[in-house]
Amino acid sequence: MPSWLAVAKNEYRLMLSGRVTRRLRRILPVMLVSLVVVIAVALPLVSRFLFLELRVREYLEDMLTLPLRPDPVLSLFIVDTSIVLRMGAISGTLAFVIPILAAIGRQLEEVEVVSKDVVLSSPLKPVHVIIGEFMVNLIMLPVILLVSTIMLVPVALTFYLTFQAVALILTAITLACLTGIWVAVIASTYLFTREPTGKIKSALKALLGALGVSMGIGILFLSMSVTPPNLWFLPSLWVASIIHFAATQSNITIIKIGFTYLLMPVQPDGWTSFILLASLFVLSFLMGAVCLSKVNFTGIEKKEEALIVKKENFFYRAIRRSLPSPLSVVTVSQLKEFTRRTDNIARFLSVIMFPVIVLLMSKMMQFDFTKVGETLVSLASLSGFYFVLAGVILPMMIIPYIFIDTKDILWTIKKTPRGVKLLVYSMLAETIILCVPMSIVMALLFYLAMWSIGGNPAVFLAVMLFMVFVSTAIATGVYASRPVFKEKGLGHFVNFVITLIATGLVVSATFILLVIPWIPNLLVAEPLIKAASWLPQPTSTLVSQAVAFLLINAAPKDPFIQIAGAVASFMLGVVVAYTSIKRGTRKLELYEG
Amino acid sequence: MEAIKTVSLTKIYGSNVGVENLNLEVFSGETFGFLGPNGSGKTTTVRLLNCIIRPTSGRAKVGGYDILSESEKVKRITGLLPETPGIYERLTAHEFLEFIGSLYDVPQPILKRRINDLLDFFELGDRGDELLEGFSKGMKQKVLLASALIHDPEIVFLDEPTSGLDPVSSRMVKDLIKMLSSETNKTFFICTHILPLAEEVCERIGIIDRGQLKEVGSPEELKEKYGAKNLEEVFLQVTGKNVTKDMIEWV
Repeated sequence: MPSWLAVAKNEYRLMLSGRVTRRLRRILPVMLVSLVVVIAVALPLVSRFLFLELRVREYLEDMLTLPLRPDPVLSLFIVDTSIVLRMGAISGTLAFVIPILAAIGRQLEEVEVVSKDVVLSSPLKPVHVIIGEFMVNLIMLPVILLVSTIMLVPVALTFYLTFQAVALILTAITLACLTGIWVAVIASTYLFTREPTGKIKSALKALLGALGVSMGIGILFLSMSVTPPNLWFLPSLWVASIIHFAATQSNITIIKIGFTYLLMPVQPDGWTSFILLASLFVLSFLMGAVCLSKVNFTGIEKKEEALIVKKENFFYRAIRRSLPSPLSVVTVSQLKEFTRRTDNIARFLSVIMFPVIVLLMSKMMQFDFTKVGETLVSLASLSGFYFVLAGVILPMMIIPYIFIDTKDILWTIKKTPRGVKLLVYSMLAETIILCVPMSIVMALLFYLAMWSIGGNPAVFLAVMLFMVFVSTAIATGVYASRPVFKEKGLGHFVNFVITLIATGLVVSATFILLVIPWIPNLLVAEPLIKAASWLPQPTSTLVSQAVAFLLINAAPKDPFIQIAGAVASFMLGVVVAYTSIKRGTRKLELYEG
Repeated sequence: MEAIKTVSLTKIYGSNVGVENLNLEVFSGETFGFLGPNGSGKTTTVRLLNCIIRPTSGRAKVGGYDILSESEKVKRITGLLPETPGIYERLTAHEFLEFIGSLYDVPQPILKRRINDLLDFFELGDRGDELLEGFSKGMKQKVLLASALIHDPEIVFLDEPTSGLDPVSSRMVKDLIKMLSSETNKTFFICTHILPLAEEVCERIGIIDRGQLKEVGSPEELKEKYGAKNLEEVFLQVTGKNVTKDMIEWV
């Protein structure tokens, strides 16, 4: 067996080393290859059978409003193609950025460099290790193809995608994906072999977090704007242009704004984009080959750097004074362990991007002429979603990382008289201490983003703090019940989903409790909104917006009802939080016992 | 008086037997060595006696307290050096010992004095403010040993206490055990593979294999019983472990 294949096989086994994933080792490659075949066949078939029906229905609907249109003939035959570019840009971003994130992430998750001694002491060449790494990352390709093509389903429903078009799209996505994997493998290996210290690892982890968030923002921006000419150099936009060309057989995009049609050239056009993408692919492999010759594993050694901490800073001293002992000592110890890792802080701070996204989105809606059709209601619903997500994710950026690599110390803590209880409460205290300042900043940013809709900053702050408290307690309880000690593990995802659902239920219940006093408003608003939908545009939108605006701002005047709703929701949050912590403590005490 | 007494103590993990019908007595002030091959049930016994895990059946008393109904009292009077070194790498040695001491409610002024004394004793006094991530395996072992003693326990469980220590530090640990045993009447329960250590410091020895206690007695008694020159021969005879010629041939 060639050496690179042995490395790839070993990496593959490591990748699927979990209790459940282990069973998939044989069948997974078959499943993934079958998936690609299914995608290649399904997309044109779906397109052929569904797009016609949808188009006919759309034409019939258009016919009803024809008299209102300035150019009835054009209205029937011209289709808005901007959706292809938007969805194509998302596909392209996923195809290019996810492989980079995943490949670097895999390198970071691997055990410390010293544990590679066994591999490095064998007669292996660096090129074998790198090719092995590249090969194992290829497992991502079918997944990327699947995810990227799912994004193209709306395109397949709007345009008839031929088999040739699908082949061109899949080729573009494959090229972007392979380039991403290769660049990531070469870059991370090169960095590790040059400076394999914890600092590089921390910096890469921080970079990974930032890249992840940037991808989120990038996708959002690209999905909202059409062919930004100043971003022509982005490979994700090349993929978008290729997809546009494949779907529409044209390099001109049509944007429909109200009853007006704008014709814009796609920049760069489809074939130029394909040439650029193929060139990038070839160049990256050539550059990689050059870098390969410079990679040398023999110089790798873990450098020990003694860090001396002479005096405790004000932050920790303040916590010691404000909490009762021994909780204060345990909390301070936990906090030090967490905050002295750069990557932990970087990851935690990256949550701030949620309100920033909403803020940027609201600004885009104000200034982008193509966004006149978007309503304030859609901004409010999207912002609300991000608001809840940020509140849940914030503690999840801390709690899972408290448990990583701490299984052995858990035994030491379990040995002490009230150790487990103290640990759980210190985790709660630690997370709240870190989350409160962040919540304040986030609440204010969300308020600024949603300022045009209305609202009180105090309410934003109160709701954000309440949500963070509840989700922190739930997440602490969930992780205490089901601790996950490895950085990589399905358990993290399961715990996240449980926390998200539990917090979501509490927040929904809170919302209902707070909204109950508004029900009279809702009862009036609903038929009004329904009636408004029968009105011609843009009157329909304007009336709906006005009703929604009234609904949001016309709060009940009876303060007793308002206070009762708030108190009831607060009590609900407290009960859920307490129950979760209690259950988590009990479960952790019994863990593996 | 017995410091530790177990009656038919059993722990079963799914289909695997951790410890089966363990009947053992360790006397107050005694240094007891618990020997056994890898996976024989030593660590499970230690975890059971420290109330970290619960027995499947059977009973045990540590320091006169029941491990099931009086677990908090048991935990207060025992100290444990675990087999796998669990440590917060981003804390300094000083901070880590303060953390463990506070879990046992040691008052702050006493805790500070003890931390300094223990760090000095283990020759880590000048490195107390360094993050533990920079410590060698042996140095971490010393910090963990200190953490097992920080609350001045009556009964000390040491799971592989000299693992990773250099000969000087290893000698220091042996002397510490001997000194504490003779001068403070502390009971030591030592799990180890290192038979000379057991022979040197332990008054009595128990040999466990596949979860079952095979032998108990003083090193001299056991050597006499098995007609062996040293404890190693006793251990091999009790556990039946021998290197076969077949294996040597291809190696």
